Amino acid sequence: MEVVKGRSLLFDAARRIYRNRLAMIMFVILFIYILMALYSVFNIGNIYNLATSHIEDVNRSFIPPFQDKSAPFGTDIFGRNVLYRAVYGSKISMYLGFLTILIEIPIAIIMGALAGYYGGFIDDAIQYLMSIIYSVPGLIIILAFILLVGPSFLTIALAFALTGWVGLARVIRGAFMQAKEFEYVLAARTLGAKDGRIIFKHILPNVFHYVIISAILTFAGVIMSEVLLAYLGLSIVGVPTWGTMIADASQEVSAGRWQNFIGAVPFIWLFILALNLIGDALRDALDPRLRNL
Amino acid sequence: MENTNPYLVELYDLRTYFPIKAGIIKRTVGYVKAVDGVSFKIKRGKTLGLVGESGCGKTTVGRTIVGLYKPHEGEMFFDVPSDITSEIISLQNQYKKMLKEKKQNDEFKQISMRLKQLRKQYDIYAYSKEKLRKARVNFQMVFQDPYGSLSPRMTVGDIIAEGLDIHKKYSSKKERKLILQDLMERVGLDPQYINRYPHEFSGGQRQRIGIARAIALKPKLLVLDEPVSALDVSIQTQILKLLNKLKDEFGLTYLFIAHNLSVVEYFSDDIAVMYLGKIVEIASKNELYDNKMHPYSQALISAVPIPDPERKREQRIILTGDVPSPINPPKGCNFHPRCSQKMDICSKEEPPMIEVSKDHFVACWLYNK
Repeated sequence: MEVVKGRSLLFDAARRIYRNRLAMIMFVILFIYILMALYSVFNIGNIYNLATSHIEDVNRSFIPPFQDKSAPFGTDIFGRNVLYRAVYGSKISMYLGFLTILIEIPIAIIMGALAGYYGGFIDDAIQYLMSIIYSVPGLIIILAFILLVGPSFLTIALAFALTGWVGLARVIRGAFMQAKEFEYVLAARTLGAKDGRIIFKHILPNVFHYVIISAILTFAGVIMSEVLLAYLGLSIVGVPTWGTMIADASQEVSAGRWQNFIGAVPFIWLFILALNLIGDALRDALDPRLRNL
Repeated sequence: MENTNPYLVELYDLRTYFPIKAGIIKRTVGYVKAVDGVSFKIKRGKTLGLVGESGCGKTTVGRTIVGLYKPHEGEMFFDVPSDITSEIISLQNQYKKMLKEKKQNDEFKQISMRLKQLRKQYDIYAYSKEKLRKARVNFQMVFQDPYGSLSPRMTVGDIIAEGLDIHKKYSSKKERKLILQDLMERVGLDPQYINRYPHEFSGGQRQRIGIARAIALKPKLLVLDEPVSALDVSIQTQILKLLNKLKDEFGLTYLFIAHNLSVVEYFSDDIAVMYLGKIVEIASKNELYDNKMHPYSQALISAVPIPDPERKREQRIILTGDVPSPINPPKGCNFHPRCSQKMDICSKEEPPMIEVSKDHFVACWLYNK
């Protein structure tokens, strides 16, 4: 017997994204960033040294952009190649972004699902917790946490995640509250499905598009926040990040030294733009209500 | 031992209330009395039609019967020998009477102990969570909305096999597939579409998927919650015929919930009429249509269009006013504010269920002797 293959909603969504030309361009850009990050991870051409070591030569310091072929964006005060530093920065941003998402998304899903599915006392408790976190400015919690534990990848990611999960958890809570009265969920309950099965097999797949979109926007948010942290001198030390470059640039630009500025800003801008547009495209593609357009 | 009780389901004084909460501390300020004292029995292998207008609590009754809602009060006995159910009910009456008279003696304690023990064993609503979960195999439900009742992210095969997966009703992947193919053929779906997704099917086909899912566990009772009201008329007949066929093949008993009286007349053996959370009249199909007694049933049935221009219709009874709110139902008979034959007693006391002829019950003071 020949079995007909069905078209899943995910397949439909992938096809719709594939047709969206702008989104595809943004995916190519994202892919280039991933390549740059991998380039730095595997330390090809000893990029780590080029980006971090001080060159004991005053003549190499502050070479203006677009003059030296080996350093198209010029060099900084220590004679370090700004382009390499910016490329290396994409690795740091990726690390930080992924780490934050990895911590934040599970917290948000568990809290949102528990509150929305069970309701009652559990919902009240989680709601109060969320309101408390939400009512304190996130930056204060982040600063306090980093000052207390010291800046590192893990602490910064943890600080972002612990303040950032509330938004997604609220969305998931709402979606669960709605979904638990849907007839297909009632049907699963009638069949004798346990709570775990209903939550993970029946409800979560149908609200997961919120998670994907939120993950991408969180990623963009983390990169922006890292700039702020660097400006306050609380970012990761010892490695070039886009944030530290912009923090340096903020003092150098007034002296006419715009190497760091021209290196970091386009890198951040393009990355955030790509993430936001991909987020938009995914929202359109994954929304079941827009399926047949 | 074969159970000789002619009734598969016995429902006693079912009350399902939904709390209304308000304020920061979520205090319960009132209840929506969706189902307010419903009792009926369903005969083995027969179909009981449950009719009433929107919002009268039909769906809530159906969902409470399959255990989706926990009732405030009430007992449901499923496939329990009649001597046990009558013992429980008489104990229950004794218990209530003694509670009213505030007799807290040893006899009272004995009765309440015995009652608790029996209910735990036989009353669906007193089952433990795990026992109820396992018992669910016996009563399944077909839902109203063929679009909302199937998860859009699961294949048809996985949807139908959900019950089999949960209760581990097969020993190998191959057996699962064979069961699935058989089920799909029985409900009139081509088994080669096993890996398709619900959005690739029409409304009628989706309802067939929902039916296949419900019968996969070989239940004894199937609650049909307006299974055809969302479908085209031509498809409705197909689905009803399919349900009739399956009833014979699987030896099913149906509770058929609907608001379309022509469909109920075609499909049911017995009919119960519901109004504002209560059953007002219950009788066999022919008896009810020929000899309707409750003023509400008369009004309801007179509103059915007759597809024959030659036939003179009976005088149509037009009801005035709206259905009262189930949060604050009227005192006495629920129907008295709209009733044309209202008496003094109607607004004071709730009418009892009166057996006017054999198996024909009506809750109306007009027939009180």
